[in-house]
Amino acid sequence: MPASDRAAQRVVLDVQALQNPLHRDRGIGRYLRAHADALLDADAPIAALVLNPDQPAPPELPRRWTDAGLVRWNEPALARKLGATGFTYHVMSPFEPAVPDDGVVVRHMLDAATTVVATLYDAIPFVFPDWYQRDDATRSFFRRRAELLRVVDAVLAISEHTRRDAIERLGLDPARVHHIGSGPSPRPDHHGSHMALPVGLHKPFVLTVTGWGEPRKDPNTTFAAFAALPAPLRAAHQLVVVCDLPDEGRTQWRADLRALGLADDDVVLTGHVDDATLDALYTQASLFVFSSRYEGFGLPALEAAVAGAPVITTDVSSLPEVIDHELARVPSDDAGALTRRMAAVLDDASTQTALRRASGEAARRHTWPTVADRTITAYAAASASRPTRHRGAPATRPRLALIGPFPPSKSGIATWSERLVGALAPHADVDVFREGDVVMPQRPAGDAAARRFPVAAFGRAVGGIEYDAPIYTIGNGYHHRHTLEAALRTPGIVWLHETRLAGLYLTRAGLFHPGYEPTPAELEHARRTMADAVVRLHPAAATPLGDDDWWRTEAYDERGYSFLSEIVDAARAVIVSTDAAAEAVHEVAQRRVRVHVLPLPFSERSVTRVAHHDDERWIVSFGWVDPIKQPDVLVRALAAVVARGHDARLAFVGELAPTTKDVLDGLAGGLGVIDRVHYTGFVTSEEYDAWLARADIAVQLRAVSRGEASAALNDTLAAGIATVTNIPTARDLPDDVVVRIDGSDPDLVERALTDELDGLLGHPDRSATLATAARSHARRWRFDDLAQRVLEVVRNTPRPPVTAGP
Amino acid sequence: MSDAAQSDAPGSRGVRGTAKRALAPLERRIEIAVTRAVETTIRREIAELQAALRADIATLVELTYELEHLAGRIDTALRALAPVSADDDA
Repeated sequence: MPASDRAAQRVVLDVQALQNPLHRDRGIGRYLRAHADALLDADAPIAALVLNPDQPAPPELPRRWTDAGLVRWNEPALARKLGATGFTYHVMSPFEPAVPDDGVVVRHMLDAATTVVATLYDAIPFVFPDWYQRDDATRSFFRRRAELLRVVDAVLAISEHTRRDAIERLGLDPARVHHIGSGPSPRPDHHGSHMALPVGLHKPFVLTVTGWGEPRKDPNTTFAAFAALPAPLRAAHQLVVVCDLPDEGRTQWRADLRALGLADDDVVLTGHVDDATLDALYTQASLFVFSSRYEGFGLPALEAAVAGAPVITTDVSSLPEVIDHELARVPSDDAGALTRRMAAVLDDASTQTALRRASGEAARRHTWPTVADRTITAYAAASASRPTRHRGAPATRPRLALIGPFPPSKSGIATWSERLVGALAPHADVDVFREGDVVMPQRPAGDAAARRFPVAAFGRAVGGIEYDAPIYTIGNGYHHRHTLEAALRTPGIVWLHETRLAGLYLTRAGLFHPGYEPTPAELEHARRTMADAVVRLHPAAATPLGDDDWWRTEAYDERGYSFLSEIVDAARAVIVSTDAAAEAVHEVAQRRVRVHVLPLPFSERSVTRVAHHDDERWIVSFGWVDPIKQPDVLVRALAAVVARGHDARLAFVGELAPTTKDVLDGLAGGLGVIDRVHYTGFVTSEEYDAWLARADIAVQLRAVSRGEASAALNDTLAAGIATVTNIPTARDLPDDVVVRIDGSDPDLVERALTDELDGLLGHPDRSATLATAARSHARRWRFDDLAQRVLEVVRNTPRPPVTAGP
Repeated sequence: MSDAAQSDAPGSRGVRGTAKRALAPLERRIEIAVTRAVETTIRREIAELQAALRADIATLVELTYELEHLAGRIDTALRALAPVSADDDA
C-alpha cells in the first residue's frame, strides 16, 4: 500500500535537535536528518519540519527541505492551521535539553495534534542512572521528559533492544512502542579508498570509533586488546581511534596507551574527522572494533559494515542486532576475548571473509527505506488506536504575552498596559510578565484569568515558543530594563512609548535604581557601559560625554544620541503612538521593519460635566507640572485674559516640585493673579475626574517634544473639554477637535494662547462645538478598538521565514 | 656598605617609625573603606538573590494556580464520565 494511503494524516516533524550545536552533527542529528529524508523519499505526507523559535536557526539545513518550504517555526498559528484537519506531531528528540521545557513539550502542538509520537534513541540515562542522573536537576529533567513518552500515542524505538528497555525501564505500554530500526548515514559522494587518511597512518590498521569521558563507550578494552595482540600482528598494524578528543583526553589516553606498552606511533588519535575521511577509514580498515558497554543502536558498527569492513562488537544491548553473526560478538569488558577474536580475523582469511559477508548482510538489512516504512506503519497504528492522551481543547484563540510594567507599579504605562490586557482578554489568551517589585499572585482557585508571572519567568519557566507573539512595552526608565533584555533575546513586537531611551540605558548600566546608591566602582562600570553603548550605536559620531553629562538623560538627547536602534533591529514589528515616533524608528532601523502607528486610546471613564451658573471660568492644565510644560506661559496668558475682562481661574492638576511652585507664585504675584492660580499637587483618580468635570477649557503645553503622545490631552478630549495645545503630536488629530498652536517659542505661544483663550471664553458656543467634536472623536478610538488593531498586528507579524541553508 | 646596613642605621629607624605612625590612620581608613565596599557588594548580592527567589516563588505560585485550575477541569470531566448508579436511575 502506498505510504500516503497508510499515513493519510499529515505529519509535523520536530527537528529542533539540528539547532543544538552539541549534537547536530553527531548521533541524534545524523539519525534525524536521514530519518526525515527517508520519510520524504517514501512520500510520507510531511506537512512541516519545525524548529524551536526560542533557539537560533541552524547554520545550515538541507536544501531539499528549505526549497520545498517545509521548514517552519514551531508556533501556535501553525498548530491552529493544521489542527483544523488533524495531524500527527512527531517529537524527534524528546530528551532535547531545551530550556524551558515548553520548547520540547510544546503545548500548542500537544493540544492541536490528533496523534503524537516520539523517537526513542536509547534508555541509557535510565539504565545507568549513576552516570547520567547524578544530581537533582538531571534526575528531574529525565523524569519530566520520560513523562512525555508516557503520554504520547506511540514511541518509535530505533532498535529492538531499545524497545524492550522502553517497556521494562520506563514502564511503557508494549502496544505503543514500535521498533523502527536504523540505517547508515548517507555516504559522501566520492567515497572509498581515494581519500587522504589522517597523518601518521602508514600501516594496515584496526579502527574504532568512540567517545571521550563516557565510561559506557569503554575504549580501554579495545586499547588493551590491541596491545595484547601477538607480536607479529601488533607490529604489522596500527590502531586508529576516531574520537572528538579534548587536550585533556589526549593526554590521558596517551598515558593509558603507554602503560599498555603502546608507543605513540602504534596508535593514531585522529580527533574530529569529517564524513569523507571517516568513510575512507571504514573502507580501508582491516578490522572495525566496537567495545561499547551499551548502545541504543550502534551506528558506527553499521557504517563500518556498509563500507565493507569486518566488524567485531560486544554482545550487549542492541549490538547483536546490528551485525547478526556469532563471530562478530565478544563479551563486553573482556579484553582477552577481544584479543583472540581480533587475532583470528587479522590472521585468518576465512574468518575475515565470514565477517565481511556478515557486514554485507547487515548493510542489506538496515536501510532507511525499511525505517521509513516501519515509521509510516507506526503513524497509522498510533492514529488508529484509542488516544492515550487527554487532549486539551485545541487552541483557537491567539496566545499573547505582554511584558513590561503593570500595577502596582505606579507608571502611566503600567495602568495603560493593564487596561489593554482587559481589552484583549475577550479575544485572546494573555499572559502577563510584570516588571518591578515581585508581587505574589493572588486569585481564587479555578479562576482562569490571565496568568501573571514576574518578568524573570519569561524565557526560564515559560518560553516565547508558547506565544503567537510576545509584546514588549518599552519606556524610558527603570521599569523597562528587564523587558529590554527579553526583547533583545526573544524577538517579538516592541511597543515603544518613548523613542530616545537614554534613561532606559542608564538604568540598564546600573544608575537610578530606586533606593540604591551605586559604589564608585559601579559608577565607573556604568560610565564605561554607556560609553560602549554610544560607540556601538553611533560608531560614526561617538564622542565620550564629560563628568557632568554622562549620567544625564538629557545630555544624550541634546547630542542626538538615540538608543533606539538595537531594540528596533531585534523586533519583528514595532508599534508606536504617533507619526513622529514612527519617523524616529525608520530613521534608525538598519533593516526594513514594520512600524504600526496605534494612537493612545481615549479614556472610557464617564465624566459628567458640571454646569456653571456664574461667570467664573476654569482653565485647567492636567498632568505633571514641569518647566518643560511651559506653566509660566500659561500664567502669563491667564493674566492677559483677565486683563481683557474675563473672570478666569487657572488650575494645575498634577504633581509639582516646590521650586516650580515658588517660581510660578512669584510670577503670578507680579502679574496680580496669584489668587486666581490653584495647584492641586498629586491627585487621586477620583479627584482627577472631578477636575475633568469642572474644567471649562484645558490647556496642554510642551516646550520640547520627542514625539510622545500625551495621555492627559486624550483625557481632556474624551471628557469633552475645549482644549488648546501646542503638543506637536496633536497634528495627528482632526482639525475640528482641538485648538492647535504652532511652535514653542514662549512669547509667540503666550500671544497665540491669549487670543485663543479670549475667543473661547468670549464665545461659549465655540467651546461647546469643540467639546462635542472632541468627545465624538474620542468615542471612535477606545481600548477595545486598540485591542482589535493589536490582534491584527499580531496576525500580520509572522516570524521571519527560516532561511538557513548552504 | 650594603643597603641592608644603611636601613638599619638608628636615624633611619626613627624616620621609619614616624612614617609608620603617620600612615596608621590612613591604613585604618583604607581598611574601613574596603570593608564598607565589600559590605555594600554583599548587601546588593543578597538583595538580588532575594529578588530572584521571590520571582521564582511567585512563578511557582502562579503555576500552582494553573495546576489547581487543571485539577478542577479533570474533576469535572471525571464526574461526567462516572457511571450512573441504580439509585440515580430510580
